[in-house]
Amino acid sequence: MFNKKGGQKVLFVYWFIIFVIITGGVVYIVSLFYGAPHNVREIESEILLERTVDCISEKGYIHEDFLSNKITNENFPDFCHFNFEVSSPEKNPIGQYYLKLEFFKFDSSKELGMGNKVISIVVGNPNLDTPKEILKENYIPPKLVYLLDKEGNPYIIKINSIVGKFNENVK
Amino acid sequence: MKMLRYSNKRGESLLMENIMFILITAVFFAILITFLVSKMNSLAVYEEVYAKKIALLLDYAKPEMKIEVSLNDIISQDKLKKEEISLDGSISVNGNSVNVKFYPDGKGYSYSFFSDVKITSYYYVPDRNSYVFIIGEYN
Repeated sequence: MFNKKGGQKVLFVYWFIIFVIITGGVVYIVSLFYGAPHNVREIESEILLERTVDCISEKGYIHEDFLSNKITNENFPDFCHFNFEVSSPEKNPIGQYYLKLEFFKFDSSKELGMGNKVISIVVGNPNLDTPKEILKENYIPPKLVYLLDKEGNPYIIKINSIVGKFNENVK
Repeated sequence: MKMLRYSNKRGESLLMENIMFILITAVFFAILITFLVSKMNSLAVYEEVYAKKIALLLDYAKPEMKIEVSLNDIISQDKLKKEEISLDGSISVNGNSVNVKFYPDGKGYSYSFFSDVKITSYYYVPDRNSYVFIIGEYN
């Protein structure tokens, strides 16, 4: 038996449920979109890399202080005018920057020209040096820089500049 | 003389149900649109964007630089005009952290920079609707 009034009530409930689902979906997607932080880690690590290269090179050559081992892990941030101190410990209780520099003598017979390692400088939070398999899309690969010393000897410098700040950049 | 009164209860209830349905639908869409507009015009998003933008600019900063950041994206918003929010004093630098606060009662958004430069002064330029940062020597 066809009950038109009852049928309309069922239709009313059905439409109501559809509206709730659509509204919920739109609210969820919009919240997800506007709630997600803007990820600037990669840009920041690029800037850190560029500033590091600026600091290593002097008039186009490797700064003498690096090759004479005057620059150490301790004085590197001051030498390059970096401040890696944590400004808001409640937000970031541990260091949010990591910088690893490895100077290799250029050797064309080796892979990527990386011969003997002559200098290594590591500053910042070493926990940020996490493998690609764990960080996945948040992994920032190291960069290779080719520079000469003042005598014209070529060096390959492997720079790993990593910015943490996961709370502020990654959801 | 008797007046004839026509009463169609079934028709009235059907009309009421339809009106209710239309009203609920309208209310739903009104809530949805209000939510979307409030999210899209939220200054909290701009606080984060400007804090990060300024921090990245200060990462590049070198002594004797003068950095000017335009806030034109913000001033065009109706909310600022309606609530008469002043951009003067909305940006501050504490140590190596930039704080952007567009709501006077809010906490704002802070983001740190790694360049060890001294920010000698910073001020709002109403004519150009921008903030100027004067960079001093290295710390």
